[in-house]
Amino acid sequence: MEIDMKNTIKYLIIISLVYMSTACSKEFLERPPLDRVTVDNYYKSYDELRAGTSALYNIVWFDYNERAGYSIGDIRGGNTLSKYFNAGYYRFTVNSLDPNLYEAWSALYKVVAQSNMVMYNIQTRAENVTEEQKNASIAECRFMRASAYFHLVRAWGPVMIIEDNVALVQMPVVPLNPVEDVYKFIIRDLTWAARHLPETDVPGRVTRWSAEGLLAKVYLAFSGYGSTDGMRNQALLDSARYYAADVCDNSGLKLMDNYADLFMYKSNVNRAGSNNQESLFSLLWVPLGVWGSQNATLSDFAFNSDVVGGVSAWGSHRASYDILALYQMGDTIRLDATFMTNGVHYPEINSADGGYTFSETGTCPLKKYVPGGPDDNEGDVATMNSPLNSYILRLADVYLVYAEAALGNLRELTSGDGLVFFNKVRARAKMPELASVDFEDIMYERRIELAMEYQYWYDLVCWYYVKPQFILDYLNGQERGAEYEHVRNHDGTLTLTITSREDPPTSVTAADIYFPYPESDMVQNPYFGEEPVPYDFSE
Amino acid sequence: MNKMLEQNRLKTSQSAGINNRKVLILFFCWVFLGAGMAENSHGQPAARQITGTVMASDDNSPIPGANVVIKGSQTGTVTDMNGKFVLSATDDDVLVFSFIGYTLQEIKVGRQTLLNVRLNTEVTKLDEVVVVGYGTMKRSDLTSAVVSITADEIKQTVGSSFDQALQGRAAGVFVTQNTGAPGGGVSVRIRGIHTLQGNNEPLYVIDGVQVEGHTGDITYNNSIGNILSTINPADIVDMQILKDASATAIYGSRAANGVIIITTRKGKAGESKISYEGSYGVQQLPYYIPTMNLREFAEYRNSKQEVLGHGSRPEWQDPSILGEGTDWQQELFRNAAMQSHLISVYGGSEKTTFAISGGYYDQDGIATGSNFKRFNVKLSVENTTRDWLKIGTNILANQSKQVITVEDQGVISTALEQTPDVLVKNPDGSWAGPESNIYGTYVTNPIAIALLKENERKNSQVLANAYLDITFFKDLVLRNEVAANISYSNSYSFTPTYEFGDYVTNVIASSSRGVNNGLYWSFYTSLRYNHRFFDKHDLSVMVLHEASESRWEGISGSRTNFFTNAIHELDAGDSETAKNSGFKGSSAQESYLGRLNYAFADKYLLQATVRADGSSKFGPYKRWGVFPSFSLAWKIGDEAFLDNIEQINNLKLRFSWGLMGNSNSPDYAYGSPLGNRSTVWGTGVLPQRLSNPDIQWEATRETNIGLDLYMFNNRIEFIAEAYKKYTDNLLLELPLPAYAGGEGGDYTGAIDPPYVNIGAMENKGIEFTLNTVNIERGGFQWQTGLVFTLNRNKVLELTTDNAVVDGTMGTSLITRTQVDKPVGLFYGYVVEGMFNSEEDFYRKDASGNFVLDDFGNKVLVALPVDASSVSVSRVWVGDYKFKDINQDSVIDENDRAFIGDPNPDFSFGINSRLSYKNFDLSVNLTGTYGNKIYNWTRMRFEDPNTNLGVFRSVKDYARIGVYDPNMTAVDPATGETIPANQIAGNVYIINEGTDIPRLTNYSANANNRISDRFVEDGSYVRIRNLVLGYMIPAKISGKVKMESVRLYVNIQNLYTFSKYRGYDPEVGSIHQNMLLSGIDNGRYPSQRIYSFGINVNF
Repeated sequence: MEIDMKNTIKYLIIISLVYMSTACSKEFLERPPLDRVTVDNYYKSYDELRAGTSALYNIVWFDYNERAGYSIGDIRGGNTLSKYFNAGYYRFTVNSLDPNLYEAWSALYKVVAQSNMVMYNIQTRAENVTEEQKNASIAECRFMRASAYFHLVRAWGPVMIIEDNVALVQMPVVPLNPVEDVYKFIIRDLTWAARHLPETDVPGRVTRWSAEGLLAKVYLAFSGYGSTDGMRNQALLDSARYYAADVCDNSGLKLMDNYADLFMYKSNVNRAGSNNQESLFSLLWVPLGVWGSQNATLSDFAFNSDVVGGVSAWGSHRASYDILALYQMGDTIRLDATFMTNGVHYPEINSADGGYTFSETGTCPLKKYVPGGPDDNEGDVATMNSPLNSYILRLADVYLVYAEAALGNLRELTSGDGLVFFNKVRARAKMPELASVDFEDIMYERRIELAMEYQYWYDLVCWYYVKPQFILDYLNGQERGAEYEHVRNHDGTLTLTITSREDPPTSVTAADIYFPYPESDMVQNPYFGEEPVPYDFSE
Repeated sequence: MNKMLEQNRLKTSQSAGINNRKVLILFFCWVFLGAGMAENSHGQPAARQITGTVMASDDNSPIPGANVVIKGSQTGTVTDMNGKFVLSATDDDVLVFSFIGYTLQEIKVGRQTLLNVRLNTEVTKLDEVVVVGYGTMKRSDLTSAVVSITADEIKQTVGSSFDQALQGRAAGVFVTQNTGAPGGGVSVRIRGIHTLQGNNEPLYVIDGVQVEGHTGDITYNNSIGNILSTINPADIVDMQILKDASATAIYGSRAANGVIIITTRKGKAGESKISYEGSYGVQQLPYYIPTMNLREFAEYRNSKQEVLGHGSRPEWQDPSILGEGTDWQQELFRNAAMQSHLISVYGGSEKTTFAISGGYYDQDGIATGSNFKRFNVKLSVENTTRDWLKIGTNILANQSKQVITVEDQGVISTALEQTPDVLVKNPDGSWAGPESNIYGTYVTNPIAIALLKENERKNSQVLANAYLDITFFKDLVLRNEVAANISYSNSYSFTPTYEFGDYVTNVIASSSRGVNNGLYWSFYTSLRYNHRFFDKHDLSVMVLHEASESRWEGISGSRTNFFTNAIHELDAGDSETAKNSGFKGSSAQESYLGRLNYAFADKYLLQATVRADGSSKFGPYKRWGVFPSFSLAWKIGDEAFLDNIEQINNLKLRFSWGLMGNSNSPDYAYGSPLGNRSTVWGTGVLPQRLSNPDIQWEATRETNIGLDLYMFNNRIEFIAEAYKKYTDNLLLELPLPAYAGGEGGDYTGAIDPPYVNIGAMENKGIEFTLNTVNIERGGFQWQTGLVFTLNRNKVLELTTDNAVVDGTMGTSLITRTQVDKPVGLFYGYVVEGMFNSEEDFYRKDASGNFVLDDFGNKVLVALPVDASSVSVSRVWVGDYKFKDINQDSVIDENDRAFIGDPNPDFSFGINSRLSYKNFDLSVNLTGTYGNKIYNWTRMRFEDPNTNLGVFRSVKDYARIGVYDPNMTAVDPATGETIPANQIAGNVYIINEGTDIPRLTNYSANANNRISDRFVEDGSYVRIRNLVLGYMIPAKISGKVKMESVRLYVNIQNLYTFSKYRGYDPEVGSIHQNMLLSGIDNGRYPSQRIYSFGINVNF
């Protein structure tokens, strides 16, 4: 076979030169992700805005909720303890290397960062939405940011206020801001949020009432800050009272009838058919959700596998002697929904076998947030995976805030709406109404009503603002770490016997009120060792 | 040779000390005295007929056309087609056998009439053709730093993966095995660390297919998966390690970490050959860490009871009646078998050559239950279709299966955590578990978990290329090549329900299944022109355009609530619990490159390359990078003024400079993706990463000077290199404090910080390779190879605000990287000793007197900030004293210092091979010197206050004695009585000198904080391979129609000389993270392997 080689060669040279000089098209090197959206192609409808804020209700709070929340709120507060797990929180020996402290710090700032970023993206990119819709989504972000800062300022005192995470990347070494400014910042966010959030929304989403309820609590906390004479700032108290009253009187929300029902799966505010009108802000966990979206406290809270249908549980936390000794006669509804005591029967646990009866007489394990096993909860229970939402703010809390704001600088509260709403909380627990309420009644009521909801230490810090010595004495007087046995009497009261005391006893000083900043951040920012710098509020 | 040496002696005696050149020669003569052995004796007997065969020693194939000459005469002959010769000689004659490409061999005839001679491949490879990037080149024409590893060297190691053959055989290449798990990976560092984050692995080019060492897209970010383990080492005939910029810059943006080019066996014209290589081996754990047996553990726990008030058990009251208990290391690790088989057929005609092989590899892990299996087939075909057209293809396909059982990092820890009182099995045969304890801490039964859990990965992969060469006219060739890497992998995991005792239970079985697949393809067109002008000017030019793309995708699903443990597939689970997820992505690169080689008079060589890469990893403004290089070489040995020095066969001086890139960032790191998040209202999204549209390539500039010297008939080969690499624009995820966005990574909903170009660093070093033939006489040969590597790494610039980059394990800061220091130094507290008695709590001056304050009181030494007083619950005797580095009288995070460097001062390899007649013996040593290891495992398990298992050394915890048991004191604050053992002046350490702290309920002093207590010397020398081989004489193997049969035994990791107290000083980096190098976190240790093998050709 003869081929004209010359022509073939010429032909091939031409072809090769042509395709060598042909570059790939420009799009060849353009490779946006295929399995997720990007800021460039998102926030183009109201639905997308809503999906953009929905994850602010769970994953960003996950690390806080998993262990830090109860360690700070309840172990530090003296409601519960374990000798073997996070014992430093009740012994006041938590140091700046503590991993759960770091988790709390990191998670709360994660809430701040994500709220800032979502807000930034909505502000700069939202399309095809009304101004009202846009503002409502931004208000959700500002609510979340305020809520995170309210935790931060009570746990650490001065912290850094961050509004712009993009700018922060350029200059991450920023000073601390003083406590007053953090409160002012929170109030500014919540006031704006209250104005732009709707009065009603899909159950679970925060509303105007959520923002106002939280605002009342923030004003109340702030009213005592910096007090030198044991008196709270009356103007701030009035604001607290105003917003609390607005929620109590005008929101149309009401307490659930049955206290124990608050901690049942069926009462999750976002569930179809739920009659929970008490939740103002809950963390909304996905039942059997992927890691980060679920409520991981289950296995820490349940004292063994028997009370959660056999899934792995390792809870070593028990009611402190101190809180058990506090329960007033007749306060068994709240006691039984919070801690297990001898002989108490829980029909909702192991319901197929007729329920579960706690039969031990030693220390008392936790009940609140222990919902039973998979069979009791439509299958939605697994190791480190509880289907229950976590309350951050509920209406009963706002009722008590109202009462405390109304009490204000008075010795006793003997009349008025504040007292009425206070007694509504007691009435729900089938406790006798009080004719007059003083500060210690408020303390009792908040501690018992909200035990194991990560609240009490934060309350103590706010009260410390006004009555530092009183709170220090109170803390040093708490029977922390005592081992005990208990007998539950026929009238529901407990007879407690201390078998050993904490040795040496815990001592609490003013230096213990705020937590140390996490070391890993301190080494990156020398400002942690310096005086806070006033925040520049000009926008 | 003999004559040459005699001449040499003469010369040197005449002109010794006259000039430097000769001094140098003298020096080499002296150093390698063994290189020449004089020979004497002459007689005068009668001539007779000698017959024999000349064969190649590597595969015993006959060598036709070899010269056989009687030494000192013109008499001789040439071997026939079958390598046979007939010659007449006397008993005293010495026959000289030679053939091009082989070292000549002299054999004294003696009384032999049949002389079968095996010639070794020539030690020097000057004339061989080496594979370089996008082409080939004669070794003598190389201008850059390239090291070859031959098939022989690969065969001396036992392992699933060829990268293990790199250890200690190539200067400048530092290899550590990341895990001893079957099919597990190694880290290969060529000339140091060039990036702070992620991939420091070289680029591999396997038969033309570019494969990244860290194959995140294929094994999907699993640190265990090792793509290199998917190739059968026996298929490889040659590895080229490209080290300097002039060799690697042709790979542009993927070149900064060096390039390793791997070539598998090709056919050659001639009779088809069949060969079989097989081996069988047994692996074992070389070292067990001493842990407590049950008696010791019971005693230890009883003493805990005395001090702490908890820990003992009633049945332990008399430890002497207890048995040994369970030794979990002994239970978990086993002697494990491994076997490997490869059969290959290769050959061809003038027009077509081919090689086909099929292999099987099966390795049990030394950890119970683990296993790695691989089948592979290979095909290479090349056809000269027309005189102007050549086509060819190489296809490597394999399927592997890895059974992991216990997670790699967890396997050692779990075995150490579990206590000796726990049984493996109950008397009734069921799995046992821990009994009730007050700590609520229950460690699982690792043996049961290893056997019950399913954790497997199957991987199918095809690496293939196909090419077409068109020769337009003699000097101009067009080449098109397409290459692909196709992978498909399945992963399986199943956790059954189980009950190990009352406390370790799982009531819900769960299963997950995943499928990933990936495709990489590249296509290039090149045009190459070679011509010699005017007799002295050699010019070669190549231009090339290449496009490549990677695509990957995968899905996974899971269910729980299985009604049986027998069926693991998802259908058997509860459909209500089903979850699934998927991922998909792609990346692309486009390149233009050119190379010019020019040689003048074959002595002055120049090479210049340039490559422009466009990568989808960077934003539109920074997408393209240009990477030039040039190099020069001067073959001094060919100059006339060296002609009369016969000892020097070749001397070449090289210089090179080049710029290389590294695109070490994840895809779309320049943009801001939104992550999908599960919420109660369906999927939500949150920002995943802060964007930085300006990120760009890491750029490495490298300068290299090299010297190649071949002497004494190439019996000495000496290569020296010196280099300096400067890497700029280091890419790093900006280290930010947690308050800037939260930490914990994407899956916790945090916003990852942006990638930034953050700084610069430098590596400089020297490398030597010295190969010598020390003795070669009468069938006896002794060869030695030495490689020496010295690299110094230094960070030059960091632009973070605090100018440090920290490496953390969990939340513990363990390494710190800062300017003017090497990457990843250990960072922690410095221990000054233990508090042995009260006086140690007080400061002393240099002369040993107590320091007094203004009031005459003794001054406390600096104590930890959380334990600022001396008491049982704060700091007490038996606690460690930490150094107050900043002298502010308190021990806090500011008192940490650099406490060790994981980088070696130097590393080396020594290879020695002796052969005599049919026997050969090889020894391969490797080692490092001066590197430190942070013994994280010891930090965990040498803690007397853990409630888990501990090392035996914990028996010697600091025991606190009381001087006066009746002493009491009164606390002035509370008025309470202080007992004798709580009065500081009344207690002391009985076993002073122990390095284990006291038993305590309080952790205020944090004795086991990260400190130099756990930094150990990681220097070692390892006898990595000892191989003894025997070639069955041809007259025996010939009878069974076999050309050659070689048998060998090989012991790998025979012994390691080291002071390190952990399992294995070869620690590597955790998840290939440069900031976590040299940290021993219970790494799966390298096993010792005894193996037996056979190579057959017929």
